[in-house]
Amino acid sequence: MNKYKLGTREMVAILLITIGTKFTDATPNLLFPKTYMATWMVPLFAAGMIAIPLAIFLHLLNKYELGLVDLVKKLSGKFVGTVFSSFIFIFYLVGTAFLMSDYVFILSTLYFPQTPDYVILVVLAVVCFGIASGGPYMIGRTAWIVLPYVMIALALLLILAMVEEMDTAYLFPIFGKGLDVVVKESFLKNSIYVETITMATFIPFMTKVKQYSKAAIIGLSILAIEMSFFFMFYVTIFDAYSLEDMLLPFQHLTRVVELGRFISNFEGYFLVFWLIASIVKYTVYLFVTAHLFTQTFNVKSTRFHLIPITTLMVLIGMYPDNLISSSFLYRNTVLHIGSFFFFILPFLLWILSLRKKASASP
Amino acid sequence: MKKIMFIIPLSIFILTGCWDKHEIEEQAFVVVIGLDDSEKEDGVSVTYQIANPQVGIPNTGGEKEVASEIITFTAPDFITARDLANATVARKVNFAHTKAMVIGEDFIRTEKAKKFLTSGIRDREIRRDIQVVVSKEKAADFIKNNNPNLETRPHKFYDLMTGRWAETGLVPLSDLQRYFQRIESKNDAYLAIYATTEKSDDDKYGNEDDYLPGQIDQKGSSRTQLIGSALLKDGVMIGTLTGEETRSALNLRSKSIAKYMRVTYKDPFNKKYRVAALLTKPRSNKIEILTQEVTPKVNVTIPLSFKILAIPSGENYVTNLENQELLRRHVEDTLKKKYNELVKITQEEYKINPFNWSRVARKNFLTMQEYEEYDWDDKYTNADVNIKVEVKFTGFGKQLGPPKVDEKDEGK
Amino acid sequence: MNIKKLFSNRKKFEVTRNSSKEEKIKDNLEHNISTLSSIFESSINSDFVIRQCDVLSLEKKASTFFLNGLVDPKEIEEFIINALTNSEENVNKNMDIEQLVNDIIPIKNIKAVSMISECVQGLNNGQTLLLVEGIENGFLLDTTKIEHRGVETPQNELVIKGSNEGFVESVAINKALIRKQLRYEKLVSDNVELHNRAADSVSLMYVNDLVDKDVVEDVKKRLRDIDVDTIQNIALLEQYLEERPYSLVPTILYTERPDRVVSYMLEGHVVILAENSPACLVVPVTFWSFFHTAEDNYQRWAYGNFIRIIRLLCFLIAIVTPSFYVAVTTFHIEMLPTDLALAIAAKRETIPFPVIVEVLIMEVAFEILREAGIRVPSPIGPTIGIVGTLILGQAAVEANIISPIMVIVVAITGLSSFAIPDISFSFMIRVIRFGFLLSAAIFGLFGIVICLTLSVAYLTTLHSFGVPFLSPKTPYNPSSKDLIFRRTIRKQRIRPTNINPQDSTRK
Repeated sequence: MNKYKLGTREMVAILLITIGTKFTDATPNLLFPKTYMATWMVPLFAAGMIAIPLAIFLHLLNKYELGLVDLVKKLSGKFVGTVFSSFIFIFYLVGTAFLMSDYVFILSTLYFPQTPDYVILVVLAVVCFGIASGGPYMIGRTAWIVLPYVMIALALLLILAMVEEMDTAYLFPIFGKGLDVVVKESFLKNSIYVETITMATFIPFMTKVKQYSKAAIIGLSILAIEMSFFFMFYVTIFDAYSLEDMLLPFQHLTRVVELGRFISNFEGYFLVFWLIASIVKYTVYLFVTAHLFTQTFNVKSTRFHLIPITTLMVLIGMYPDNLISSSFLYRNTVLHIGSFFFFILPFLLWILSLRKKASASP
Repeated sequence: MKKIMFIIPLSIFILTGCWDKHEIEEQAFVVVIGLDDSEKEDGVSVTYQIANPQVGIPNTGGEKEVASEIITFTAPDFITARDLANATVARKVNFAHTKAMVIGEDFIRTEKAKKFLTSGIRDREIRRDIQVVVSKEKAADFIKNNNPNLETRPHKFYDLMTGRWAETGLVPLSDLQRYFQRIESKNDAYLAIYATTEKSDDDKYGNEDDYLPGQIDQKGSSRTQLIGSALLKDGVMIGTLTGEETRSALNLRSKSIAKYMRVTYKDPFNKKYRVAALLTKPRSNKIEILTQEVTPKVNVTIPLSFKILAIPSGENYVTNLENQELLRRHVEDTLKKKYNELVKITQEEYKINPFNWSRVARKNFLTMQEYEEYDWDDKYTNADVNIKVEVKFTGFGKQLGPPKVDEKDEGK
Repeated sequence: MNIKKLFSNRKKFEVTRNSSKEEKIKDNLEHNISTLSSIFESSINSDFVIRQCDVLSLEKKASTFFLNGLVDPKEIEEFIINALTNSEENVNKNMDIEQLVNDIIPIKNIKAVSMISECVQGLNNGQTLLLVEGIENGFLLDTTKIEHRGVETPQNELVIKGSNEGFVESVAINKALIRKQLRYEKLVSDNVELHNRAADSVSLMYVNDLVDKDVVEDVKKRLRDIDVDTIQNIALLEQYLEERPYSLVPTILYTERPDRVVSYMLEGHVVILAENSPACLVVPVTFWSFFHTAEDNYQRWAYGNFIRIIRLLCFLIAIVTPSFYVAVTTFHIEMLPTDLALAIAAKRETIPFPVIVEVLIMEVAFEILREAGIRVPSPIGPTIGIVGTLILGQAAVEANIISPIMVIVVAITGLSSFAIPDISFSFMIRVIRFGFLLSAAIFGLFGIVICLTLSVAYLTTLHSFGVPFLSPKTPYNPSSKDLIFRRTIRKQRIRPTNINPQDSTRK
């Protein structure tokens, strides 16, 4: 046993960074116009919803001790398995590309208005490619190293935000547009937690499969609380009526906080940590996408295939003209498709595994 | 060869500067933006006050220069105006350090102002913590006439002055953030700092806080006065509150952030004098809004703590517990009366509450549909408001009894 | 082509080198003398001394050989020559010749050898060789006395609290210093002969029941693979041993403090000692070793952590300050307090260069000052200070070449880089600072973040003798968590398991 492989810690870090940055991008903007002040319930409900398929999935993982693609292939046969896993691969390829252009738009809108978008996109892609080519261990360890600093920055932001005039009364009327809307949105957006399932791609690089299950459970519970907490903060500081039209509440939050009269413009400091987290996040996605590809089509050398996949992502990422189209149109659709697919997939696999067992026993 | 291939692009990058790279001395920092109406239908008269960095810095040759450059012109909006400003200013106009936005009263009373203000927020440099100041005169005049003697640099004045709200409560906290909040939620009135540099004709003596800007009869070289507030309904100004009313309004809010309000009340024993006290609010108000019936009922309990600062009448309110109780009752009654008057004005004249009570009312509803159907703003005008003031003495300064003043001496 | 040539050259060279050394000692004394004479070039080498004498007790001819300067002449005279020529009584002729020599010569260490090469090596190490007519063995008598400095305080790793002995340029003394601090029977010193022309020997010291045997083997293998004339000292050896010679990050710890070495050995590390070096190498090491000093653990918990915090701050300041200044003043002006922004703008109005050039001028000037300060002969040392302060601090500002705030930025950066305890690390920081600076000039904070993330990612891929460079932090291994902060001494009960010690609890 190699004691230097990835463990629970690194996996939790990967999950916390990939999912835990979602409330800092345009994701809240997909939610707030629908659920308003009740948005903070969405992460909790969504986590509850995905918990069931996740539990089944983890059970299957532990039983067969395989990575995501191998498991799908083993249970659903070679052909169907390849179809499924190539769907996951395309889902990741397109999703990551759109998300990346999302972030590029955020950067260019708020910090680099005159820099052409494609320059930022290419630089981001090259940096992520550089780290991703270092392999899974490099990614996992980097995530674990930067995680505490990112978390401290987020905690600091919350503490500073509390000093600002925040009013819990903004959380009312408690159900926003109604409980039914909240539940519906929670289901449609449960794919914000899809990484808890797809990061199983990393399993071949982990010491034990058990550690992955542990990481997924820890990660999901921390994330649900963290995300809900942040949505709550957005509401109590900005009021849900404002959030309806406010693009990127996280960035606004970093702009609103201040420490006395002297240091009033904090956003640069948070930008640093946000960027670190984003780079690690895209590195993870990039690697996962490449690894999904190599595993699906049974080719060797993830590192080699990183180059074409990065290029492809940059090209797709350049397609949306602006944040509104990339985030609201494309990403929203990708999220919805993902929600259905990954909700059903574990059940499907479970049924297949039961059938297999049944056919094997007599 | 490889090295050259690497060095050439790198040096191009560094030497030409990149897209968003701007040397700090190439930028003009607008510290105050002024907005006025213009004759043009689709235009606005924009005033920029640009800080001169060299003023106040030794050995830069800037000692004799003016502290700021003020330019006014008409433009489609105050964001695109910065390119127009470059006709006279040789630097890149930057809003990153803008402290305040001064809006002329005439302008803010129109719907047009709201449109121009809200359109500006799209720009990344316009921060939501910019203070909104409503000036009695034209904003351009206000900025021109505002020449504080103590602060060398113009931004400092706004920085410090608008920061005083936290201490005195004479002006409200009025930043763009709250302005947008009120517009977007369509509830509650927005209070903006009210200011002027012109002396008002109707001078009056209003004790310590009962003034509108310009009414204070002050002598001195700086004529700027920031006191009281402009009341904005849905982004449009509809009325004014004096300093005293502003304080009351802040106290009626569930959470008032004003820390120390120095106030005076008529001495119950000796009507000639007033008792001075320091007023603080130790806890949030207890506000209860009953929305079941047609006319909503509002019950407000305001906890206040008092520290006696001065008793010019010489009555003993410190060790004489009976007198103390009397004073307490008196203060409670006076405050209650004041608060009720203010509520009445807002209900009848302005038809909107500046106390953020909609937030309390919201708690009674489960969904937004129900709440919007109820239409709190409309119901507020007939609401039955019950105010209860609970005053507690928490300190009497570092003196016990009043000094022994001979009655005869006083008679002389 | 080239490679082939290289190989063929080496083979030829090895053949000529070893021809006479491979021989055995003959029973013919004359023959042996001439062999050794030719090896040591005695016709021109005046340091090579051959002293012939008759051993009365054995009634045989004998010769002693030694190299002047490496031996103690007094010892040779008193205990060897005297003993050989005088003693005649009480000699049992039937005894083994080795026993006899042992009896006759009252010296601390005698070693019998049979190969010429062994003799040569012994002579090179300052031993005296005794050859006796008719015997196929030589005797190496330990008469080594090499001049070296006395034990002094370490030059670079000073502490306020704690022992102030530093290593000197002698392995024997260094070993003594280590043994003095760790009197433990399992502390071994394992000599490794290098396969090179001078046949240098390097000592490995480790605690045998703690060390990871694989690491010892790895070190030995790497030592044996070294194929050069001679390794003069440990600083050169370090460069032969490391995995990534082009990397900016050091992966071997160079220390001159015996107490530090002992604490590392107790964690299962291997220590490498070589002649002529006032320091030793510790392998494998992790990032944290470079960040720590000996004093961190000597000072009480609170004080020790306080200086760690200061050092962490210095670490960050030294890397990021100039680039942060560039990023903030050219890309993110809103981050500065308004007054500071105006002050900087005011001072910069008359400066003819962009900020990045201004920073580069000052940074380079500072590096020049630093290098000059080391190379300058001590009598004119004070001029450096005068020139430095005058040029950097005052004249440049008055001449409007740089702004005054720049002086502060560079001064704090320089000062912080002095606070980095390890020289290699300090160099690393000084170099990557420029990388950060350039990327900050191109992309502002985004550039700095890119550099930071890439640096962290790079560090995670490094290994030092098989141990990941950032362990036990990541990959996580149980340890006493003596990383950025340390626990109280009483709680440091576990050895860092990433080093693979055989026993993980300290008792």
